[in-house]
Amino acid sequence: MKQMLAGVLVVLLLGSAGRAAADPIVAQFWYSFGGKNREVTESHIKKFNESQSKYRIEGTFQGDYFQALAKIRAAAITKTAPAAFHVVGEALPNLWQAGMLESMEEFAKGPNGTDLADFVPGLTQAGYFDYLGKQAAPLFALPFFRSTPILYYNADMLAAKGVKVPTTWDELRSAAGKLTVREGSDTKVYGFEVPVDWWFWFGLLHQGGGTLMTPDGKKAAFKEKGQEALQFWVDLVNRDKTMKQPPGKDYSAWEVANTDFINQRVGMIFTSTAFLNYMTENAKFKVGTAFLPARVKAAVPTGGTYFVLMKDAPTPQKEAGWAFIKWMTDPEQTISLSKATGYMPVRLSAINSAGMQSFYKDNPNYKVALDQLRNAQRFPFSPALFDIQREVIQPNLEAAVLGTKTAADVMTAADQKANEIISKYEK
Amino acid sequence: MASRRARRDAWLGYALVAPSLALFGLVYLYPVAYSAYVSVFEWDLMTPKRYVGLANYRVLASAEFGEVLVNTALYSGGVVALSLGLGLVLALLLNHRGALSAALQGCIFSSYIVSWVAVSLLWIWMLDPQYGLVTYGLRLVGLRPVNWLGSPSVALWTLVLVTVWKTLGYPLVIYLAGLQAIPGDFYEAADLDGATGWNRFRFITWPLLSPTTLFLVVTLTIASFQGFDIVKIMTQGGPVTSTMIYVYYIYEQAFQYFRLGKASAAVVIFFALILLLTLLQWLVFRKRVQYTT
Amino acid sequence: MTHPNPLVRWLTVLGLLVVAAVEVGPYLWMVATSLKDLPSVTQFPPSLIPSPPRWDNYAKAWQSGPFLRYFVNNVIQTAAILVLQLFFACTAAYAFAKLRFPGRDLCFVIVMACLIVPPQVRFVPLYILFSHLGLVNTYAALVLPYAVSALGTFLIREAFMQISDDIVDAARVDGAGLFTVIFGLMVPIARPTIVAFSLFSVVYHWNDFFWPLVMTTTDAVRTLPVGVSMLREEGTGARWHIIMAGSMFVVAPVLVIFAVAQRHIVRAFTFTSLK
Repeated sequence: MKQMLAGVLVVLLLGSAGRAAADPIVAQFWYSFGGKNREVTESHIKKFNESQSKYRIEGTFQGDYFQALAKIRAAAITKTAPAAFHVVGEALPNLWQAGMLESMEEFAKGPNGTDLADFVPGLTQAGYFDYLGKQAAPLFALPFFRSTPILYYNADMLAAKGVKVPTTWDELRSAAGKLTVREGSDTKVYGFEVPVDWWFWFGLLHQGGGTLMTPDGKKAAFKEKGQEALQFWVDLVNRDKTMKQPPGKDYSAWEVANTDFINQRVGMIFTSTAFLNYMTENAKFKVGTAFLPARVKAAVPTGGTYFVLMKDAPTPQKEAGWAFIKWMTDPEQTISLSKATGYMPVRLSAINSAGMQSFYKDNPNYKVALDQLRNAQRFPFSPALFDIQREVIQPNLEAAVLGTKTAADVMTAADQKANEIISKYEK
Repeated sequence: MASRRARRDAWLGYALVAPSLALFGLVYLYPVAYSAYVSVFEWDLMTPKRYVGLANYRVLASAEFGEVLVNTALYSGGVVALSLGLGLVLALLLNHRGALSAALQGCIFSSYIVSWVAVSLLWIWMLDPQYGLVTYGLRLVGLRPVNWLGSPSVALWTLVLVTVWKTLGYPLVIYLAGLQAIPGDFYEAADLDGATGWNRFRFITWPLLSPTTLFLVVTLTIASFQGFDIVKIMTQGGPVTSTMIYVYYIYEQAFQYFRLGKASAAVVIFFALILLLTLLQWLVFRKRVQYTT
Repeated sequence: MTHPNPLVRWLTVLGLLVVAAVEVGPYLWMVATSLKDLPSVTQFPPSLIPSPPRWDNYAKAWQSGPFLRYFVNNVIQTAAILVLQLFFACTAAYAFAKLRFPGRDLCFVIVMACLIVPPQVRFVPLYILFSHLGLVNTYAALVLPYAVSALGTFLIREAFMQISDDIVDAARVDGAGLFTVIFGLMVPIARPTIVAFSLFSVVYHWNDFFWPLVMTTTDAVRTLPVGVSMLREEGTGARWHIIMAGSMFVVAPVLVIFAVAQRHIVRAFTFTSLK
């Protein structure tokens, strides 16, 4: 009897142990894009799940970027947040300081670790941020879909008008003038178009030699050079009348600029390298790409999102989340993600691989953003960064371009508000 | 006997109303109370709340908030007036049986049931001051292009027009119904008295439509005060702040800037203001409504 | 429409046709776009009829997510909301219109106050509440917050108030039960109002994208509009042809219902009651 019981017990234990070993640890990955990016991500999630049996990742769409951020925070309150999600760089300092994110240092060095040295320096967390003289934050974010703005130009249009690809602000100005086509009081073709948006303004700010904050991060420093950047747009739109300001804030303006470019209503635009696939597939002309024009120096911001882990998630789910993030940033995956979307690969070994090298040879446009990384400018690692972007700069730029305020007034007010926000966080 | 019945009725009344009230309290009033609570803090939904007393309300007593109120009133007023006017005219014209009439009604109604996302892109393209269809049409008749969505002085009215265009099917259907509910006897009597078309309208149609009109004023006002999708998709409150209306303002404060305290204070203020306005509107209009009894 | 002057008649017809064209044009454009390929969508001047029509856009949209489940969820959500709204509104409206009890008008004012609270304001507190109750990602999260309608209660109360007390009393004297009185007698008389309100509710909730998105974190109970919003792409270029195809899945059912029900809707209003 006892032997039988023991036998049953052993079978039960083995059986349950076997089942436990077979049950994968399930973790959620929340993402905030749709369309092609979503398809690509979902197919990779499926591949990850099929490639191993220890973890299973469930990916879900959570709305646009802001809806997702709101839901993450609400979910954090009720302790139902996902293990992993992705977020734009500007929001990272905020989230880190609030204690929402888990450090990845141990994971990276652990048994399922990753070779941090192989990551493209300009695309990593350390390459994105200026730690303002303070101690660097530990690793808590790995690059996901990363991009830089580039200059797209209608190569056929430029060739037809004998216009050289501009490399400086002055050249951009004169090129825009030559490309603009007017009929009476109507402008049939604009020379240049760019969404009046924080991201591009940040680039112009640095191209003029300015920075967002002082090196210690205690005060705003963008007033003068930010005004010059804004004034550049104001002049192009209102004085030269060679630049079209696409209507709408956020992504509507970006979509209008893209559509205008494809429809040959504009000769040159600034927008993300992420649209390169889209442009090449849909333009009925030769699409050229180049660095953003320089002024005092060449400078670009980087953009896109990072993978992060939620601190409050249970440990097994964090492990699962890490395994997924690590896998997604492995050279093989970063190549397939990049090829499918147009975002940049995040690993040096991936870029140097024979496959990518020959891809770049055949498609030189894709290399532009990568090469431009040497001009990448860092963002200050300050919790005020997100607020300054969303509240202080982004909504107020267009007032100057529309002529309801002067660039000087806009920047003076912005400078003051930014300092208020910074001092609020300093407390 | 009567008082027993009265007491029974009272209990019945409570019994019938209680479940509704409970649900209203939970899903509508609790969030407002929650907002009132959050409105005295500064909160980004992430870090602990920071008590700031009435600071959020003081911040709101600003030109920016005043502009939001004005924009909302203008948007709502424009939408209601145009919807009622156009809806009524169309209903009068389409108020007869026939395939053409039914087909036209269907056409007008089709835009009402389509979602905003689907048509907003088209409107953005059609209104483009460079090559939009509307711009093209304006040029054909010799007018200068207008920067419909990009000009602060015009954008709000553009949204009014697009909203009216999209929701026209609703007042049309309701007015048609109201018209067809008017007993023919009234018109026959008027004809016997030799009434003209305008008089028929003024003394029979319009007064007898007043319940319908009230119905539409109330529903359209409420719907337009909650206008959000069109702003979110087409202008995001811009250019500058010219299309910033109530719900979008709160959404922006709460979910773009993560200033939940300020957003909550705005909620409380609006709630109080509009409650007043709705009661006023109701009291004023119900005196003018005539029933056929 | 029966103006004696033929010129006026023709001009009126012309005007109406213009209005109809303006109203239905964008809908037709949506249909056309859903059948194009991407370069044709963004080209200007736009082509009207795609050739060949790309029916595979519909397949792509449908397969981009669990669209069948979304469709079923959408039906369940919209129907459940409507049924609950009508039930609660009719019962409460009867009490407000025909019964007397202390505090009745105060209760009614409270209901009216709820008219002004938009979903963006309700999201955070209700999400947190429902999350604590474990109801996120359930039909309850989609339906309960809309189970009662202040608008419906207000409108049906108005309609009930127009029904003479004598009729109601007569029915009750005849021994009719409460629900018979409300749903058997008064609702048919108030049919126009109820139909008008139902229209409003169905169109709003069928197309609602915001609430089903923010009250769910997984696909389990999500609805079609959320599915369509997932087709939008903000990072690498929008594929409008597929987005429009997806939107058609949302529009088509309601359009069909309206086409079929149009006569009935209008007939509902011509039921001239004992006014």
